Amino acid sequence: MPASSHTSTETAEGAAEPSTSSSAEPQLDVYGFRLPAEGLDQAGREASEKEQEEMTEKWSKYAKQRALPSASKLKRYCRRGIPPNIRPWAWPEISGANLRRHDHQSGYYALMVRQGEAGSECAHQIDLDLPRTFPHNVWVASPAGQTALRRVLLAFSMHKPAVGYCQSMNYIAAMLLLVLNKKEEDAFWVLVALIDDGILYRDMYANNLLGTHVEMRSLEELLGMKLPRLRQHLIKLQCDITIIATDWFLCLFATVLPSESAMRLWDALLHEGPKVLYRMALALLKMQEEVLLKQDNPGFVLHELKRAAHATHNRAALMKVAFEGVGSMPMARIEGFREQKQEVVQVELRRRETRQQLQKAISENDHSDHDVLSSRGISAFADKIKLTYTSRRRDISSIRRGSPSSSH
Amino acid sequence: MIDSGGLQQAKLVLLGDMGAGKSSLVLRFVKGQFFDYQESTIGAAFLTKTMPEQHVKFEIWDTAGQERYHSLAPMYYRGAAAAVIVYDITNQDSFSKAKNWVKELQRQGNPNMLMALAGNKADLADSRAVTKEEAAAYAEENGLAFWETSAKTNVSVLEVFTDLATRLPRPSAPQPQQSSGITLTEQPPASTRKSGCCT
Repeated sequence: MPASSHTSTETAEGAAEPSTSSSAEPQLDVYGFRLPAEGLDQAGREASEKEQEEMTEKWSKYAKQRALPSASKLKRYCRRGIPPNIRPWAWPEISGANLRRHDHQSGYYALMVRQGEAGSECAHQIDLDLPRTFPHNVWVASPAGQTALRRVLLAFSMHKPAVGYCQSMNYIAAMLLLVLNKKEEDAFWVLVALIDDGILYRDMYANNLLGTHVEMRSLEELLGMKLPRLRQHLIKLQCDITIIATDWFLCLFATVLPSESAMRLWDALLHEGPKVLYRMALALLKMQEEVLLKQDNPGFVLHELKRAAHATHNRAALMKVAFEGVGSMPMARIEGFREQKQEVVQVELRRRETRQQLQKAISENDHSDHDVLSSRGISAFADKIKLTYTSRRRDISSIRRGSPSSSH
Repeated sequence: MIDSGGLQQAKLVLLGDMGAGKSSLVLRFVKGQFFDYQESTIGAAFLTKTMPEQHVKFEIWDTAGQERYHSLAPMYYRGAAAAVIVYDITNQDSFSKAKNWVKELQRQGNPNMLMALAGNKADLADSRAVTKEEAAAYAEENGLAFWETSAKTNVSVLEVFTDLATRLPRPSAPQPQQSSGITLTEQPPASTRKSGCCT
């Protein structure tokens, strides 16, 4: 494992970046991402490639027949990895994207693109992020890549207007395009399968990230079970797991792991669902546990984890820790945590929203023309506050009664 | 907090609309680098920078800008000694969002938090949408230091952070549990200067 065990308080500072030497062409991985010039775990990569060759033999048979392995084999085969040349066929199959696609008229994607181009509310935000999505990947940064990415994101924003565009979807969509031979429509439907068809937990990308907050709280509970010492240490540092794992879950590890490692994770994710994200999060934390226990600041915890994750080129070993090293993880337990946390998070978010509305009402009142001391001014102001307050009470009690009001 | 090297550790948070240039400002300040296209930040990034002349080590939290990430922000500004609120001078909406951040910090943040307002992308003055006067007046009214900055052409970036470092309240008495080997006597008294520039 690439983790260096010394603690450092200065590593985040100054020229921590590998020097971008102009002398030699940088080595690229299978998806066109730069491999580090120094400190690359070459042996680990080669070991992973050997495993990949083995799996290529197995998967090629199924790809030729256009039939997935039997259910008993499929999980194992996905966990051991789908070779890059098989993914463009396998991913839309295992994710349910093809089923979803066949439920819609044949021109659905093109229609969503047209509508999006004509006037998606998210167009501005999407356009801001396009050139900032993997800017060092040659294809993503090219005009063809930018156009394809834009169309996929615009189409999604029309397909699911309640979610629209959430920063992080740019990275996911870009990876999907790279993996799926740049076929926009396939990328679109796998994105839909992930976000809008139940692979990922609901509302993860919602306009208040509700589902992400729930996943973070659940992860914290699991951390307490699997790595109690580390959890205690993080509590002591006031290092909320949200600080560590928000981008892991929203970007599905695509921005922290080397692409080949992240895509191995996605092989399993698309088949098994987000339990796999929990496994990877716990694997990274477990592998770095000793280093993290020595950190005295949430920032350095984050920094050490990022550094270690970036260097994890031995994807075979990483997956082994994730699937064997962290022990059993029944989905029922995760579901149980989610259920508990869903209510807590919803109430908390609602409180925050109410507070913001009240503050807005107060500041609008400060700036309103009529005299606040006039009876009209006071009663209008009081009405506004009363309205906000009662609607919050109603919302919160409906959450507590388990009303499904905000689940979608 | 004072670390073993006699440096005052200060938590600093960057807030502001997406694409305003928060990450670019930090990267310019910490590493002296600039990229036309800086990867969009998801969650938050952490960097440190020591300012030896001010005896300060900033622990910098650079946050995600999209509104839906707003609910994460308190985790980053909680306990922060300083905040840099960034807007894009070519985008009026980003200025409104900056004002909302100021309000939120005034209400929820550490009451002694130092705040600086940075109107970034000053190199794009041709497409300016927020006048310097408007922003300066707002900053004055709210007791913020104000700078127009350009991470790209390296204008006033260092100044924002130097000013904050200079104005940080110094720990007045040595803290008992950290008393070993700390001498602060050579440090100048905290500056009482209110605003950075652009008056």
